[in-house]
Amino acid sequence: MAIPIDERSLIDECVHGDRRAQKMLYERYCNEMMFVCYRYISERETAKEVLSEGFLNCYRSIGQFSYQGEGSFNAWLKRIVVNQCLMHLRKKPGPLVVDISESASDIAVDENILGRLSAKEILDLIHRLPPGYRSVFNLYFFEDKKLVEIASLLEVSENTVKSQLRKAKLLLQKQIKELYG
Amino acid sequence: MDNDIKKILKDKFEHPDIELMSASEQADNWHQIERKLSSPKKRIIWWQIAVAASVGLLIGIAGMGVLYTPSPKPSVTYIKAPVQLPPKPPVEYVPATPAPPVIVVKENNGHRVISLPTITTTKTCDTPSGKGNVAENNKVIVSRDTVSLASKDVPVVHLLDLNNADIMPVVRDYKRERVHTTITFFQNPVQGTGRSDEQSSIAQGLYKK
Repeated sequence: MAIPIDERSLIDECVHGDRRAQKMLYERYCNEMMFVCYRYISERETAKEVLSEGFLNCYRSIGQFSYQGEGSFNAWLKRIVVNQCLMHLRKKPGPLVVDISESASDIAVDENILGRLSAKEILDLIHRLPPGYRSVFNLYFFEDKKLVEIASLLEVSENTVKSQLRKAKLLLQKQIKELYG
Repeated sequence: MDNDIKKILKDKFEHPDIELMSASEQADNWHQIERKLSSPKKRIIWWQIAVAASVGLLIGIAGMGVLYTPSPKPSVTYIKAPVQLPPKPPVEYVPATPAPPVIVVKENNGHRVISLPTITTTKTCDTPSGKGNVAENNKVIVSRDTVSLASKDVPVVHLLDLNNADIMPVVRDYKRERVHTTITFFQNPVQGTGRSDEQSSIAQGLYKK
C-alpha cells in the first residue's frame, strides 16, 4: 500500500495504527520537537527520552485529534511535547518555579543582537537560565502563552510568573551583553 | 517589545539551521518508540491469558468439589446460653471522713510527753494536764485550767514536747478569764523532755496567769 504524503492522510493512517505512517510523521517532526524538548531540558539524552514519550503519547491519543488545517497538527503535537517536558521537570525534586512575588518592570532584551544569533546560540543562552526561569521564558516567548496560562500550567501565582519572566529576561540580556555585546 | 522577540525566536526555531539529532539517533529513537508502541499489546495478551487460565482453574476446582462432595452431615448449631450476670448492687456514696488525729502520751523520765501528729481539723483532746483544743494549722490552744493544773506538776509546754513546736505569743482572754497560748507542731514531732530557754519563758508566762 502506498504511503500518503499529505499530512492529513498521514494522520488518518496513524489513527489506524499504521507503523509506516507513524514513522513518517515522526521523521517529519522529530527535529523540530527535539528543539522544543531541548529548550526545556538542557540534558540532551533526557531531552531525547522525553521526545520519545511525547511521540508515544501523540500516537496513543491521535484518535482524539481533529484536523483543522495546516499547522494544527504541529501545534497539537507541540502541546503534547511541552506538557511532557513540564511533567518531566515537575518530577525533579524541589519546586519547578520558586514562588516569589516581586514587582515586574519591563526589561529590554537586545533584539538586534538576538536577531544575529543562530538557533543553536540562542538555545545555549536559554540553557544557561535556571530551569524555572527557562520554563517561564519558553512558555511565554516560544509557546506564546499568556501569563495567566503559564501560572496555571506551573501552578504558581501570576506575580511569580511575572517576576520569573523579568528575571529570565534580565539574565538573558546580561548573557547577551557578556557573550556577544 | 516582547512581540518582536517572539517573532525573532519563532523565525529562528521554526526552521532551525541545525539538526539536534543525527540520522542514526533519530532511527534509534524511532525504534524505541516502536518497541513501546508494540509492547502494551503483548502485555495485554499475556495478561488475558493469565486471567483466563486462573479463571479456568478456579472453575475446574469448583467442579471437582461439586463431584466429590460427601453427603452433608447434619449441621449442629451451638447456641450459646445467654450469661445472666447478677445485678450490680447500687453504689452508695459514702463521704470520706477525715481520720481523727492520734495523740500519743508517753512516760519519759518521770515526765509525761505528748506527741501530736499533723493535725488538720479542730478537735478537743484530753491531755494529762487538762483539756486543750487542737485547732487547725497544727495549733494547740491551752485553756487556763490546763495551765493551773499543769503548774502543780509539770508545765504544760513541757508536756507538749516543745522541741518540735513553735510557740505563739500568749494571748489573754479577760472576759473568759482564760489564757491562750498557741503551739504549732511540726509534721513529725520528735518526742523529748528537754526545755529550751524559750520554752521556759513561755512556761513562766503561763504560770503567772
